[in-house]
Amino acid sequence: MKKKTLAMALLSAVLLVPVFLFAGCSSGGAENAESNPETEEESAVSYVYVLEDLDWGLQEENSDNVYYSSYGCFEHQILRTCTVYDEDSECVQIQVLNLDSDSVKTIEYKPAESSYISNVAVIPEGDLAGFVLLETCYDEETHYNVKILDENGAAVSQLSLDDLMSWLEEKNGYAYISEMVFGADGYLYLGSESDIIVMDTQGGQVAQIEVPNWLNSLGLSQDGRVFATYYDSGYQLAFIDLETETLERLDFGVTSFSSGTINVLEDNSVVYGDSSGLNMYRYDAQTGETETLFDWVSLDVVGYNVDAVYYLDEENMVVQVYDYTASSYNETMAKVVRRESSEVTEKTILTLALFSSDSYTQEYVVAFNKSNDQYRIEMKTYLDYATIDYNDYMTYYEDAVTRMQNDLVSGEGADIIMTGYGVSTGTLIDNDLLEDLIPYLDERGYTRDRFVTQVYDALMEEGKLYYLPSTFMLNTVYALTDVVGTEPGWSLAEAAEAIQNLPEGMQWMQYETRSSILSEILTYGYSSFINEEDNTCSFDSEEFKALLELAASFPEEYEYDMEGASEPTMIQNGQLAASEVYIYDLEELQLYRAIFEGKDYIAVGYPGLGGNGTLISYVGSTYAISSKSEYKDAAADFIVSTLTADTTWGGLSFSILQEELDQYFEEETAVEYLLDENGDPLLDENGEAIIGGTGSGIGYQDGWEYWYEPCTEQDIEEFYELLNGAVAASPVDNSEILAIIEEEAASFFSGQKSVDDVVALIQNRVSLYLSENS
Amino acid sequence: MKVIHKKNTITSSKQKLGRQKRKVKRLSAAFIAPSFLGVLAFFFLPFLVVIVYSVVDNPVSMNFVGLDNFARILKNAAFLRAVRNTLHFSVIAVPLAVGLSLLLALVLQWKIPLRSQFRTFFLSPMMVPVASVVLVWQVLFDYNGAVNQWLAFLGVENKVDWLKSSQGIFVIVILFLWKNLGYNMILFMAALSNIPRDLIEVAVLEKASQFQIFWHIKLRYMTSTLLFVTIMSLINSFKVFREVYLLTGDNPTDWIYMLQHYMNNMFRKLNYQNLSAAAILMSLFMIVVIGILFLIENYFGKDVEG
Repeated sequence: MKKKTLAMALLSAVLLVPVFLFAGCSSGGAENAESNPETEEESAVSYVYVLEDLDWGLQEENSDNVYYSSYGCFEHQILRTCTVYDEDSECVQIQVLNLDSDSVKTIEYKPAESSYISNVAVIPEGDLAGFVLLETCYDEETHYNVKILDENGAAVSQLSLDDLMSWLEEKNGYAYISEMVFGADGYLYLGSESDIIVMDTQGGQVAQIEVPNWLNSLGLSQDGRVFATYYDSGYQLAFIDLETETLERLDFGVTSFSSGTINVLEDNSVVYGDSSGLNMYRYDAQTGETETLFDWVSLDVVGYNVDAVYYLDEENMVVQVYDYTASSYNETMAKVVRRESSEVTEKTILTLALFSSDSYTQEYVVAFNKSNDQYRIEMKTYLDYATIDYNDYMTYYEDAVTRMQNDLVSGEGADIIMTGYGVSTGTLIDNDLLEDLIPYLDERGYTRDRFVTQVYDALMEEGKLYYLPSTFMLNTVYALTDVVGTEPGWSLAEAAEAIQNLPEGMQWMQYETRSSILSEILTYGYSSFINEEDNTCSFDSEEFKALLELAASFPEEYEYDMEGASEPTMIQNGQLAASEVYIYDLEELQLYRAIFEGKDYIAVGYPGLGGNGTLISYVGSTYAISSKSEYKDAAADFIVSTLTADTTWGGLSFSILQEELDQYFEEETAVEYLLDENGDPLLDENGEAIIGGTGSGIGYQDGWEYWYEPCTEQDIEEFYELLNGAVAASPVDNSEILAIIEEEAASFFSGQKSVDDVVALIQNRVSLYLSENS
Repeated sequence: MKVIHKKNTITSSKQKLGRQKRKVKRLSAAFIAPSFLGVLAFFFLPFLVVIVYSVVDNPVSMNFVGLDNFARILKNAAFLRAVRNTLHFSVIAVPLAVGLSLLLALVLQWKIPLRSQFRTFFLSPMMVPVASVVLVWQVLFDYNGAVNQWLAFLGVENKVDWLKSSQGIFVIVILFLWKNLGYNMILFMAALSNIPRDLIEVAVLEKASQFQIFWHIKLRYMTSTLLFVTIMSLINSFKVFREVYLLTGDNPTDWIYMLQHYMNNMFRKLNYQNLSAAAILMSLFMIVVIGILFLIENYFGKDVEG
């Protein structure tokens, strides 16, 4: 009987514990709420922040000749300045929007001739008592003046900063005031590089404070105290003590923040945004705790584009955002208002897992969220730069990888995965964590023929497409045919031989070092020493030893010479044999034709890469669908939306959609003629219309320059010549093998170990690493 | 009537006793419950998960593959190398850890000068964080480290690559001993002080030699402590990965590649199935070894009082 009872008790415990554990996780809050109806009522109300338009009601808003340059916020009044360019003059407007009355007060100020306004500050006495302008006058001599205006814009006084600027020039080699604020103490604070200078309104210097490293910004707390943000082992915030002329640090537990978003409240609580553009936080000085107020993506705002946040109270903020894409640039201000969740339309949440925040992904997500009524994407990042411990970065990094890995495996983490960072894409594929995208793309009309097929095919892994970028570029190595031969693509042995037998006085590439040459050769060529079939390697071969010896013949470090010959000049003078090239637009092809003009050269590519040696690399991010997602179709809709999104990558890379690529080529090759005053084409001596240039060019330190011309069919042909036969890098992570080689090779380069000892160690360690996978 | 009354009295006493026993049991259960639940939640249930992972093809598709993972890792060169190295290390380190700590405990029982200082000295490694210890070891055993410089001073021309050669195992053994001797020594000293003094006095009167006293009395009385120390040292020897990892990273040379290197790297590659199979094999091995140690303890310690 006793044994039976004991057994029953044990069995019950075994069965009940998991029930207890899991039930505890989910229903604990409900139990508490049941015991306290008031709490239930309070906790049932949850809040979200939403974005609302802030209408200044001014006609010139976003017009072409108006440029907004700085903003401020004081007691529910938003200040901005804008420069209005007329045909032959410019005028600075100081605009103050009263949020309580929705009225705008505009004060016009016309700078003196040959002058411009670089900084504006408000005098926070009473109700916006006046303004301070820093005006630089370029006359025969440059003069710097601070102008104090009253609330109606009438000049009150003027202070000369010429002495201060001379002192700064003597101290730093140049003079520049980057920050200017007017404190409630009645003093003017000026910031430059690593100095804060405090002046009274008569121009007398009150204090001068040295900032460790460099000054990031000056700001005003809500009660008018001046604070500085600066870099000193992470970003710091400190108040300025005028008596001791020191900085009094305010520690709110972060090492990285976006300085424009910082708001210091009266009780030293801090509202701030992280530097990754993800979230806004509120640090409570009374409790020492930090809460997340909102994430920018939930407001349909790209957090990276937030210039400033003005915290009015718990329920109201004003945000200044710039919106910059390939086709447009806008600066806008908007209100962030707290609402009850019930007032906001609910959508199904998709989670996008990404290792660390990325502005382009934010752009894609915001665009998707704005256009989709049913789904909303939330970003889940694993590497938080706000709280990162830079002294123990590797531990922090590995913890983040582990957390991401656990989430992905458990299926809790993601519907969409940004690949290539954190967990290796090869590992995700090997573990069936990624869905084949082909059926989803086909279903949405994005069949193979709509893509640049060379890129599409290069992305395939055993007939499946696991991840998709929206844009790409080509990386290759241009080299003289005398050195590398006339065929594109080469082996490691060929590369080693060519580099070893360079003509007298000729270098391989500019600024080449031991580690850079090893990296160039081995990043893609290391696989020549690996037999993937049986996971063995041959790093103890004579070929690899020769490679290490070749690398050892390069200098350990290069000396960058600001006044030395540029790469184009050195190539032209026969001093350089090759150049590594990133082709992200057709003009790059033109540029290198000019650099190698008169020389026989070829895109020989990276040794050991395969194909023609040219690498297809992806610009921006690549995305995949988690095989554990419940919303694969919605995830596919997002990935498809990235293909045509108008982002900042446009113009700096090629679209992977053939139609978009063709359109880009068409635009680039459109011919524009130089016109006379009547709008007729200018003719050359042969009577033919003169084709206009692009108006842009590139110059090097030694005076070598190139002005881009409109692209031609030759550029397009050259592009396709490179693309046909180009290969994509393997998604398998090779960083550990390269790290082993680099670590061991260092002791050979420094002369501590013989090449035989080093290759034996590399062989030993890489063999073991490979055998883990067998 | 009287008889019946007596019977009722006996029944009532028995019931009272039974109630008391049940009460004591309930109280005991309440005391033991937190530990029991903790073990259940953090050891037993995760181990069940490990068993599940060990018989599926991968943690995502979770297709049952029987013992395939076990068969695969038993053919895997890296796993076999890790097993060999770990056993090699344990075979060297555990007897040394037990033997030397016992020796130290015996020596510190004698009335020697600075006895308590020595005891503190041997215990001090327990207070030093492993990461700091490893830094010291790196300074000592690096290719350009202090040990090689001392050797050069003594006329040894060829430097030894301590951490990247077959000598690496000895560096790890020394680190292991340095870290563990103090704890083992304290356990032995406690066991030695618990041996009945009268027995030793009788043995001395009977003209037994010191060796005979040690072998026939002290060692027999310390059998359970010896077993405990051996098991703990064995378990710690399997956990030496932490030190090796901090010294040499994820991918060391194959001389000091331990079982937990294999497991750690499998985890990083999301290969939970191989990781779980390796963990289960390791557990089975430990269970067998510990079982054998218990049998030995039963055999030698069965006639010892208490």
